[in-house]
Amino acid sequence: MSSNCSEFNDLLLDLAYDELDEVSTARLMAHKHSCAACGRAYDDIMGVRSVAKSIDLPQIPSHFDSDILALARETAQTFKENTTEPPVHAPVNAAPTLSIIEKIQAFVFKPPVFGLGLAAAAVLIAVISLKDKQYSTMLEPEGNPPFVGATKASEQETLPDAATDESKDKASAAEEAVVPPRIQKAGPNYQPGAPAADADDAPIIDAESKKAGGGMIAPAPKKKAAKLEIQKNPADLLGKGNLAAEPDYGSLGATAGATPRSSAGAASSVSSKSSAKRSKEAVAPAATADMAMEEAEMPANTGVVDDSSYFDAGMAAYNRGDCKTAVIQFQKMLDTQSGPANSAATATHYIAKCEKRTGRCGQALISYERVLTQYYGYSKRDEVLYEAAMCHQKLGHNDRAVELLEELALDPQWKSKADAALKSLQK
Amino acid sequence: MFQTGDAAAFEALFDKYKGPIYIFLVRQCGNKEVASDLTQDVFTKLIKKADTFKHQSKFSTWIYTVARNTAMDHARKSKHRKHASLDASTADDGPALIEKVSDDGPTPERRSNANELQKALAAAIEKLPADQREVFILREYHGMPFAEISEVVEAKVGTVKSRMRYALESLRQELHQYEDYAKELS
Repeated sequence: MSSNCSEFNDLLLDLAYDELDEVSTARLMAHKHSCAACGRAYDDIMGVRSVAKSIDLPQIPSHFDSDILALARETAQTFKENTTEPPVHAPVNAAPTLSIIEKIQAFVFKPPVFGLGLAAAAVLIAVISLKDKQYSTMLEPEGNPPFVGATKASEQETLPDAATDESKDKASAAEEAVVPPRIQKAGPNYQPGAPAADADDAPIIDAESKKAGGGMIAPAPKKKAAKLEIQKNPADLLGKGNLAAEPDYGSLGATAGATPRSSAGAASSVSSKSSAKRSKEAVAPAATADMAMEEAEMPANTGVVDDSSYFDAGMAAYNRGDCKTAVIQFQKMLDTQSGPANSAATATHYIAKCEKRTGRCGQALISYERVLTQYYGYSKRDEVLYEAAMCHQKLGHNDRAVELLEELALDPQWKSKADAALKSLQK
Repeated sequence: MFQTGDAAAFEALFDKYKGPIYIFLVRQCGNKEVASDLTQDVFTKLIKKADTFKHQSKFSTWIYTVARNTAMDHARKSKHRKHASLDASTADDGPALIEKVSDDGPTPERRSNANELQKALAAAIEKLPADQREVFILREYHGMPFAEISEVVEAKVGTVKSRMRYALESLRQELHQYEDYAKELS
């Protein structure tokens, strides 16, 4: 045994498990060949490893997925129902702070009292409508729960489907599409996808924000908006109690298999044509109206979604610098599950790029992280790693930025750039 | 971005980690049914504690830490930590846990040797002290780097490596006679 053995002996484990850098590996290999003791020690480790590898991995029970997912969804649902207040820094698609009336609604719409409450409310509203139409009109905006993407549990209970189908289990309810729970009315301040309240009184959902991030709320002109918490930096905030809620439009950025949503999906698609069409509808169920708007925005010459039309339109818009349109088109592609083969990752990536380009790193990260977690084999993963790291760095998530850059540094082509960024982070 | 209430993101994480966590817990508690229940607990905690993940460590580190603590809680509640044999199988989940079937159709002799090796390996791992066993399992079967293991088990990297060396040495002594056969299988 040479004098270097003590030094190298400590590294044998790292060598056996491939945790050494190239230089150390070369040095240790050279030593190992010249030192019988270290060679034997290394062979012993590898001998045990070869035996250990012969073990088969346990097979997961076939019913495992449904059991756990059902339980997880149910737990999330229960947890969400028990969460009366959103976190101080509510995530982008969290429900806003509830007013007193909304809190009462939240209580009323809980399952145990919902049936009774619904019936009572229906009778009450009918009576009030008959007796005092004006009073009814005044009451409605105050009674409308604001819609900001994902709903709270109580709000989910107000969804038409959830409210009328009691047999629907909680796991399914957790994935219900978010639909504005109330009738929308057209008006001078009407915005597609805006909260289901009177136009004059409704907080306006910023179309692009909603699309990309799930319900950023633009400053609303009137009192309702004051009750809502505006989320400036959603990516670094946590979604406590929100897991059961269906992700909103933006957070669906890369959900290639997602069911197309009515309200959420259409929220950002504001066209004068569709707005005009909508404005003619004095009172229309929100979901129906949104679906109509979606239809209006389909490619004009056909009733069938062209496989690549949204994708191509998105790319064209991106290339000419029209990020807003690009996001809309890519999101349409994802919602309709159309587009060329393997384009979901690309579309999600470009949604992120658009958001980043427009300075919305928080929104961009939602899509970037989705690409990283859901499309592991995406051909531009390195590019995504770098761009996401830059966004994380900008938002102060240095640990995550380092993590991404370290992965990026494994690619020789990106190593220098990643290392430079890492150095910059360390400073 | 499961933290932002993205159900799809949660399912993606679930798909990625359900197997490794289940395997880890099977080996930690030695019982498939218990491991299945504990895996459910882990993902339930994942939902409830989503807001406690601050990106200060890797997500994998965090979820393995949750899994380890869940297993330890279970062991404490059970008063005694009895590790069922790794090759124990239950009626409803198919073949034995560590059954090894050679791709080229094992002869009765090879099959017999394979079974013997599996049992010996299971017994040897089972005999390891708990702290050595978890380090060995995380490094060998979950590919977790020593630095990450040190976070999961809350010990210094040097301590983790020391435990690993002891574990490897114990296994080597127990399984030395199967080394050649294992190489033949692999």
